[in-house]
Amino acid sequence: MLSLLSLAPIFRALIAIILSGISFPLCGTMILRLDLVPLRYALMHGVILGGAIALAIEVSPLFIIILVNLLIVYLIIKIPTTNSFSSAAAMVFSMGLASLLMHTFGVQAKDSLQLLWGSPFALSNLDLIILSLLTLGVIIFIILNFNKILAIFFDISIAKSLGINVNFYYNFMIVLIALCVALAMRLIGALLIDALLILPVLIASRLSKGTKSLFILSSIFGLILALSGFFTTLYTDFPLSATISLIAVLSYLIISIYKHIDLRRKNEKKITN
Amino acid sequence: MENFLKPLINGTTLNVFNNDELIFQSSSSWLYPILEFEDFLKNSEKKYTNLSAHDTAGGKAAAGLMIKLNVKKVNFNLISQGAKDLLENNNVITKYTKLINKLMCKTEDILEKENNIDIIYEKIKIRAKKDKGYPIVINNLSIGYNNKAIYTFDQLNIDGGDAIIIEGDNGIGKTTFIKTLLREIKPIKGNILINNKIIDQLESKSIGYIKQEKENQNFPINVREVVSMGLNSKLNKTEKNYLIDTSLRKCKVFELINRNYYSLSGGEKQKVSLARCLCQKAKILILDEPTSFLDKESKNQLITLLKSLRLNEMPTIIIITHDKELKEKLNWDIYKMEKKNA
Repeated sequence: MLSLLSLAPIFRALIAIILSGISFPLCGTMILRLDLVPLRYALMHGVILGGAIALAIEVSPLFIIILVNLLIVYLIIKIPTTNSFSSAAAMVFSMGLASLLMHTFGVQAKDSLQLLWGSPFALSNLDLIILSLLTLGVIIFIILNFNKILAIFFDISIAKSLGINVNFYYNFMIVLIALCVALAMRLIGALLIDALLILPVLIASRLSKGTKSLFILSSIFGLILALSGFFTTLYTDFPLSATISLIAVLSYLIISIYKHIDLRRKNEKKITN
Repeated sequence: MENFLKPLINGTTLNVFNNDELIFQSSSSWLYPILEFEDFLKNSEKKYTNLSAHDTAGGKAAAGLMIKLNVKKVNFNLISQGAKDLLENNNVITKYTKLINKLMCKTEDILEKENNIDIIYEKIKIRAKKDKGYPIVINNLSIGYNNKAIYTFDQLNIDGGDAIIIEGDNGIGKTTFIKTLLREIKPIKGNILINNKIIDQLESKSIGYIKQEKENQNFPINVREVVSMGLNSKLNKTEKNYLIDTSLRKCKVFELINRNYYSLSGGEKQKVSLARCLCQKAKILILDEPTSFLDKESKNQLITLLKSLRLNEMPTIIIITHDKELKEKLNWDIYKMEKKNA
């Protein structure tokens, strides 16, 4: 199996899976805490629109996907309504336009389905460079601004009272999420994006008492899940997104059952004492 | 001759003895030697039951502090009549070299008609740390949204270190006032001067804000993280840890340091929030309905803590509340926001 790693696409996929395992859950923490789940859906649909445009005009999809997602983020920030309404509108618009483009330009159904499943083995060197920059950017952003992020996560009005430019940091986090979703779609596809973005955070949140440990544990779980999925895929030839997702859900269930038993044991101990 | 009757030498301004054994000396001026002695007693593990002191000059403030600190015998080089009466009325053996009618200082004026030791003590502590909180000056200030004024303040001045309760009916503009103070919205007309600066020019962490805690969330954030979010980033790790620890201890919640903030009771959360404001070294504290979701015991604990913070930390405090019990127990000045006739 290790000999497979000498193949360039597989080695690139391994690096990509390590980077995304570390960085995607960090963005997932922001999505969950800032209640940006509707935005994430809008961005996922934006990826499908970006992919449809790329397939229609036959260019590499990543740049188009990133551009479309940044445009969606810009519109959501600028349109004076709630994020949920803007996100819903962006979702419907993206799917409608994507469908129209695919029909007009005769895009093959098989190609468009590829967008839903993704593949790390199809990444180019440029994709990998962008993913590395995103990983580095997310980590540096969090380390340098941890207290500000902490305050925004805690309470926006208290963050403002501390003199933090909440709008700037909030919008910066949305842009990071937009880039992250665009890359996640290329790696594991639209349907299973939560496997690396959200599930590691949910697992970590069951074990963390603080936000710092949540960030660190999310990344560690993301990395473990990503590598487990990757090597299972190499060994079994199952689709990567499916293996990562199933391992993630299984881990979440095990941790939840463990925490449930642990809590019951502690409560019983309290009653006995 | 007992030691407290012997002369002060080498620039000493206060000697304190326990059973004739010298336990404390100071060369500071004004009331600071006695306040330093108070700190000495707080930090000492020994119990001193037979205290005597020799001080240079004593007005009512020094006399009140001596009584508060349970000093049994005093000797002043110079003493005012008010101080002498106060000491003797509280069974303190009083010796002096020179008796005068009154000390010529503002503290003596403020305390001239006051004989309650607790009130004297509170006023002295406020004066001693008067420079801690920022003064707020509001003149002809209109607040509101989209250029539409909701409320206009003719005048509201709060001295640095003072505490005020603001009350008013729902919808009168209390929240808008808080948002204006927090610089979330701009005044429609007029301005707010804080520490002689326009509010926009104020240092970013000068205002500590404690809001009412309604919902209980499920997110991992521990007490240490909550308290540390207002810290000055230029401090080193040791300084940061020291500030976090002392702020939590002052608010009596140090033992909660590793607990998840959202697992705490309402009262504990409010104390942690106060610790957060101390940690950020806020010069002004704004508390929005701080007792809304507290049970009786937590409310009493918060009131005690607020009184203690006012005396020992001295930020300027603004509390927005409808809570009658809180208003009565704090007994601070009240500003009522009322609808004005056209």
